[in-house]
Amino acid sequence: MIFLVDCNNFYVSCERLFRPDLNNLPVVVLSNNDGCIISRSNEAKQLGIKMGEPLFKARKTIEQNKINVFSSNFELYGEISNRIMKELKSFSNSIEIYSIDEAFLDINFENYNLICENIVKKIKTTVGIPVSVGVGLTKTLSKVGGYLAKKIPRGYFVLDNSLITQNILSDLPIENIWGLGRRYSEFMINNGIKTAGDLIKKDKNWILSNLNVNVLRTREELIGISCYPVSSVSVPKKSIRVSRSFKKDVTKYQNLEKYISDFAFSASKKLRNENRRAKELSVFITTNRFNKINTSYYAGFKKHRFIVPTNSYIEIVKYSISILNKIYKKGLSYKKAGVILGELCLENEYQTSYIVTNHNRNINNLMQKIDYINDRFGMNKVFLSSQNLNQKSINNKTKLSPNYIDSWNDIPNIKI
Amino acid sequence: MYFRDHIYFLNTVVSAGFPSPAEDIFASKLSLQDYLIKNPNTTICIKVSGDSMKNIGIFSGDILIVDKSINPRNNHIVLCTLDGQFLVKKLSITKNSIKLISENKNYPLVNINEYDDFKIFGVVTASVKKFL
Repeated sequence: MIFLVDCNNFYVSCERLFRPDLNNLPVVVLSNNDGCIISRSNEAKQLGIKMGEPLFKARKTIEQNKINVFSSNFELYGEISNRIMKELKSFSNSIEIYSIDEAFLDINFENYNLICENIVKKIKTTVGIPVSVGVGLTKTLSKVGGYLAKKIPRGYFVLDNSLITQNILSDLPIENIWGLGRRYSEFMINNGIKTAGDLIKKDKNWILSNLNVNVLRTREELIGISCYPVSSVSVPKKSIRVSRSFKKDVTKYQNLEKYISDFAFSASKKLRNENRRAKELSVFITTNRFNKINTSYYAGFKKHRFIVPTNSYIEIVKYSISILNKIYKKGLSYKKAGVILGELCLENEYQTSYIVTNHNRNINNLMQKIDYINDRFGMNKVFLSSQNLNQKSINNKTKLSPNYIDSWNDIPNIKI
Repeated sequence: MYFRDHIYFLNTVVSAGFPSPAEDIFASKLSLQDYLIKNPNTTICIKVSGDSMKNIGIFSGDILIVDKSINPRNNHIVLCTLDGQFLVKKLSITKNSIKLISENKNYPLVNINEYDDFKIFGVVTASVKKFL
C-alpha cells in the first residue's frame, strides 16, 4: 500500500513550533517577497483568507482580525522538512520525497490504521509538526485518502475496501484528483465527466483520442493499477533557477547588471552545493505589464551553451552579463529578471573538450576557497565586483522569524 | 563515497628507522556533539534565563539540549508549554497527578489540571555552561 504523508499547513506549523502562544490564533506565511499568502492556519482559512491571495488584498482582514503574519523562513522550513523525512525513513526504506512537505511511502504491513496512527504520533512528538496520512493502492488513491484525511480529526484515511472506495470516488469532484491539470479538468466537466467515478467509467480509447495518456494513467490509478510507483532514488534537479520580482522597476542597465550578477552568483552557489556543473545558462528579463512607461510588454530571453560544463562563479557571472547585454533594451522599465542553469551533470562526470585547454585546476581551487570563506563567515563575504551588495530592493522580508534550529544567535530564549 | 563529518588523517612519513608503534592507530577526536546529542534529528538547543532551576544546576545563560524523541518520565527535566508559554521544570508524575517542580524554594509547585493547555515539548538531556 502507498502512504502519502502530508504536513498540515506546513509553513504555519513551522512558525508555531517555537511560538506556542500562536496556537489557536490565525497565522499566515507570505511568499518570497512578502507578496502573496502561501500558507494559512485553519483559523486564517475560516476568516476567508484565500491561498495565493496578494497581501495588499488581504490587509483589511489581517488588521481587523489581528492575523499574525510571517515572511517565509525557508531555512527553518527546510531543516524541519529534513527532520520529518528522516523520521519517516524509520517506517519504510521505500520513500519518495515529493515536496518540502509531502512524501510517499510504500509499506507492506496489514494493519494500515495502526501505521497511520504511529506516523501521525511520531512526527507530532519527535519533530512537532502535525501531519495527515492518506493510504491507497496507488499514489493517486493515496492522494484521495490524504484529501479526505484533512477533513477528519484523527488525520488519516485508508482507501482499502473496494466498495467504500467506489462510493467515495463516485462522489469525488474531478478537479480534486491529483495530476489532472485545470485545462483537462474543465474539458472533462464540459464532457460530462464530473467525478472520479465518471472518469473510471469512461472508455480508454475515448480518453486517448480526446485527452492524453496521462489522464488514462490517472484513470488506471483510480481503479488500483499502479502507474506511478514510489521511487526512492531522488531525481537530481534538472535545472536551477534564481529569479526575483523587483520591489521597484529597474530601468538602468548598470543596476540590472548588478542584479543579474547576484542571481548568477547564487545560482552558482546552489549548483556547487549539489556538486554539479551546468552545460546551459539562460538569462531572462521582463518588463512590467502594468507600467505606463512601457508601450508594450517585453520579455527578453537567451541561452548560452558552455563547451565544457562549468561550476565556476566567474564564468557563470561573466556569461550571464554577456547575455544580458544582448537582451537588454534601453528605455524600458523591468519588473523581473532571472538566471537559469540547465543540463546539469555531476561534478566528476562531465566530458572535457580538447578545444578548451585544461586550465581548471587553479580556477577550481579559487572557487573552493570562495565557498570555504562564505560557508564559514557568512554568505557574500567574498563576491564578484559586478554584484549588487545592497539587496534591500529585492529581499523584502519584513516579518522574518529567527532561524530557531540552525543558528546559535537565533535559538529560542526561554525564561524559566 | 566519503564521510564528510569524520575525516581521519594518517600522517606518516616513511623513514628507514624504527617504525612508531602508534603508526597503525587511527586517532579519532573526541566529539562533544556525539557526547551531548544522541539523536541529532530530534534535538534542539535553547538558551535559558532565570533562577528557578538553580538547585539542579541550570543558570541564566546556559544552553539546554532538548531531545523530543525521549519519552518523558517521572523526575525528568522537561521543556514544556503551559498556556502558550515555554517552561523548564522537573516533571513529577504520579498515578493521578502531574506536577511541575522548580528547583528553587522561592518558586511554587505547579499542578497541571485536565483543562490546562499543557504539552511536553521535549526532555532536557544536558546543560552546557561556558565560562569564557
